[in-house]
Amino acid sequence: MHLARRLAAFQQADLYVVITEAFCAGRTSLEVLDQVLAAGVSIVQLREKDLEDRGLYELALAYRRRTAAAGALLIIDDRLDIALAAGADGVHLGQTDLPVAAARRLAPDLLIGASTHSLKEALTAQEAGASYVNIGPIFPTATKPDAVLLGVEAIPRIVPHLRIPWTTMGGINQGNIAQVVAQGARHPAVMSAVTAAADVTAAARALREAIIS
Amino acid sequence: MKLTINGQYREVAAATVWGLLEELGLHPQGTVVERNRQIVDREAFRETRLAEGDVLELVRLVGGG
Repeated sequence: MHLARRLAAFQQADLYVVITEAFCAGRTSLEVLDQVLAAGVSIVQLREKDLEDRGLYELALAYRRRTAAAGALLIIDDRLDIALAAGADGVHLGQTDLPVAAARRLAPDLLIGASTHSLKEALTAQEAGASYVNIGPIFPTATKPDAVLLGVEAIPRIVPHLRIPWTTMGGINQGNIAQVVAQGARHPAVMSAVTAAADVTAAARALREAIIS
Repeated sequence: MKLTINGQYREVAAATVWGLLEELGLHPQGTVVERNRQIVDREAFRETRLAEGDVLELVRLVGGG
């Protein structure tokens, strides 16, 4: 698929849900994915750091089938090879992963997202050809307990310098999502606020409502 | 000049991306433009010149949310 189509779909999406089975409260990743898609979420990231390649590839294929049927974008965390092999829409790269420019050379048609924690990192990723940057972590999160928090006030320091779409992540939940939406966030990203919820679909719907309304 | 736009061969008068969007009646703010497999920044539409044989993908953003 053309990058322009993927980018247009990205710009029109709202909630961005990252799924890691360890944060799915005992359910399987695929069960949670189905419940997320049932809420109409249209960007999903598969993030598994500890699976062996074959297992991750097969999980990515299962994600691709389900997200394609739902009309949702699929982003794979870190692994460009798995993203390409599984026909995903994009790859999300951290600061210690493959550099954005290298990934862009290998994958001209993929969305490439970059985790950034400062204006400098965000601008570097933008210049290297990232399709979007994530700004975070914003609020305290159990997923990354030692991370240095940026706070909501980092958003207006960084965003005016961006030409590309941005997401924001880190401890976002129903109680504080309004704060990032008020800073112009159109694609807040969440993990456990959705994947560890008792009712995944209801949690995702409520967060989507908070963005759209 | 002749361009390929969304997979279709087409003759256009425009010389820039901005001119092409005007010619086709597309809103610059509501269109994602890819030229020869590179996304064109919206701020660069006016100065991005088209060349014979360019391959363009124009995707309209539909309103929503």
